[in-house]
Amino acid sequence: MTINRPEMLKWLWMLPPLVFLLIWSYRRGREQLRVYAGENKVLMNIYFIKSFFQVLFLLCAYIAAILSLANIYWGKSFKEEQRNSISLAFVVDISNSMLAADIKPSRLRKSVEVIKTIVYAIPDLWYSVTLFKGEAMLLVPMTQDKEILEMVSSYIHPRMMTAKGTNITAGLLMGIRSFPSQNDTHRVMIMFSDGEQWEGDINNAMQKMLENSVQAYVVGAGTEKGSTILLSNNDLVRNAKGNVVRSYLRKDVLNKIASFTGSELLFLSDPLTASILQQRLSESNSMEKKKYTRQIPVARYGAFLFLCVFFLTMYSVLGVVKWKGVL
Amino acid sequence: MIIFQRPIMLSLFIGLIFLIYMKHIYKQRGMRIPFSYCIAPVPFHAPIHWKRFISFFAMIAYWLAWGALIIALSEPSFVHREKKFLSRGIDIIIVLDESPSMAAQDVKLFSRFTIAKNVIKDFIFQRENDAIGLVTFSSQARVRVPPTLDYTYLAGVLEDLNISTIEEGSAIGMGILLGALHLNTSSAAEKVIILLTDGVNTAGEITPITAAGIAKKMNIRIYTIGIGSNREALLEYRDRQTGSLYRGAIRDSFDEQLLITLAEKSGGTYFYASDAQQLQKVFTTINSVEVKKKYVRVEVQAVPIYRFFVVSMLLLFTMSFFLYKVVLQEGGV
Repeated sequence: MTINRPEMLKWLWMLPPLVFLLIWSYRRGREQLRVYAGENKVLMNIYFIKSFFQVLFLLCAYIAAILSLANIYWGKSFKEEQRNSISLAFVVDISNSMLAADIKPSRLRKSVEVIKTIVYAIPDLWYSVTLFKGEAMLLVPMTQDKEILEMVSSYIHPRMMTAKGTNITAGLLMGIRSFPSQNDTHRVMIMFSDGEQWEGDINNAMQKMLENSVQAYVVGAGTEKGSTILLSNNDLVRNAKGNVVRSYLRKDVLNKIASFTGSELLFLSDPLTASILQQRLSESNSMEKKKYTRQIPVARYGAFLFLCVFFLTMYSVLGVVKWKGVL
Repeated sequence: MIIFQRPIMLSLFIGLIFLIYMKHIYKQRGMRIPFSYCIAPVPFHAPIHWKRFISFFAMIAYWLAWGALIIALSEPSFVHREKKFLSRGIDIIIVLDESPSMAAQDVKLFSRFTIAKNVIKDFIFQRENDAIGLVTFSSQARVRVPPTLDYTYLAGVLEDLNISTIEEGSAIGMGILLGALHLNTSSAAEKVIILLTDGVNTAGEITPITAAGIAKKMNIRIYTIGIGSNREALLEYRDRQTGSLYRGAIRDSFDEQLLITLAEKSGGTYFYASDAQQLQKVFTTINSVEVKKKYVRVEVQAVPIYRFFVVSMLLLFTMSFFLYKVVLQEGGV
């Protein structure tokens, strides 16, 4: 289950004041009833039961509406798409932690090697390269030109951007934007990151991927054992206290992105990663028009809206139904 | 355009009529005693005017909330159509001279370079499915954008281009060769270079004729465009490094014979443009000549917008509830 818009759950703050208002209103109604009907126990009991269920239904209606806003996904459905060939957006983390050498020669250089292997191995491939750190930049727009990758790949380094941090969301959104709308191709994204100290609204990016039919492979750069980060001046990265920083692979966020788009998490430390990706992509890159079936998560907001309608109807009907027979 | 993914749900509006009947018209409402206004101290007097107005307002908000909820349930979506091209277009590389002479103002206030940039930008957005790249040259050639369908990116790079103030000379041959190199791996059946220059070849390790020969072998057509006039023109540009403004006069011309030869050698055409209008015409001509049969599929993309209606429902319902219970002090839940 994925809550795509967890920030919407903040609307639940409405419930306590609502409960307070309902209790206050109930007590006033009871006093008014006492003025006109006296201390009639049966009437008071009916009033209590009716009010109790009305409050319950009203609160349930509010909760259901808020959960629908949170856009919860669970389960998978199959989506059939008919496309020819693929467009491939590489999204590469160039934060300082990608200089860690737990993967030789470094996480970043190895990522670039994998990109080059894939681009050169698949003929007539449309591809783009996006780099991100605290912000994102499109280094190579969607093209078939392989020479440009050869030219720019050696320059890919954390120094290319000054913005600090690891804004995965910015990288993913820029990667999505790099797919030209006029291309009738499968849209595939391959992200290289160690997932460390990420920031930004990742759910927003995942929603955009879903809307734009983008399938994302995620390549985890690094190891769980971690490594120190050697800078170009041969000094190690240190924190504010002067202690040497170790960088680790954080799988949780990377796994979330991959599984949400019906894809998989691969590891840069696995020597077979490049060939696995190459194989997967080559299958999709046929120029012959083919039907493909893709697993996509199912949004369940409709179910919550149904519940909201049901509870509100019950709340309203309960307020106007006959109670004569009871008495 | 807005569509409903589940239009059948709109039929719930009929149920809403039933609810309105139950709440406002149905008289046999059992034990509920609807003394909502001023029970004490003076019972049964007619509600004062502003309370009637608020009561009416609260009722409208209540039913509007219901309406918003039913609309949300029918899953309204904003739909936009996208043209998907099933066939591959032409690959085009524009090779643009950025030497200082391009700062000459044949027409007042607009340099050749600015005019060329504007006309190229118009040309880019007239194409739909052709990958377009950009190479610039002065004494050296540089690829600015590889052939891409991302026209917004290309237009952005073009907009940021400035005349090269640190290099003098025109390496036409290098510009053509670099353009050809970046078209080499393209799968497009037709490849085109559009060369814009106002000078003669004065730099570079390879002659334009040799470069055109290599392009020809790669099945690349070259359109050559000579821009500028033979008249004396004001030259004005700002050095990006120092910010200094340079002014002068220039009277030079391009090597027309060379441009004709380059075009003929590669199966392209030579054009001459002395001003912005003529350059526009040249690009219009190229645009109409370089066409390829297009197979298009229209894809409909739907973005759900139910959230707006759910939020409206929550706000309207809460407001209605607040007005009834707090302002009008109606008893009961």
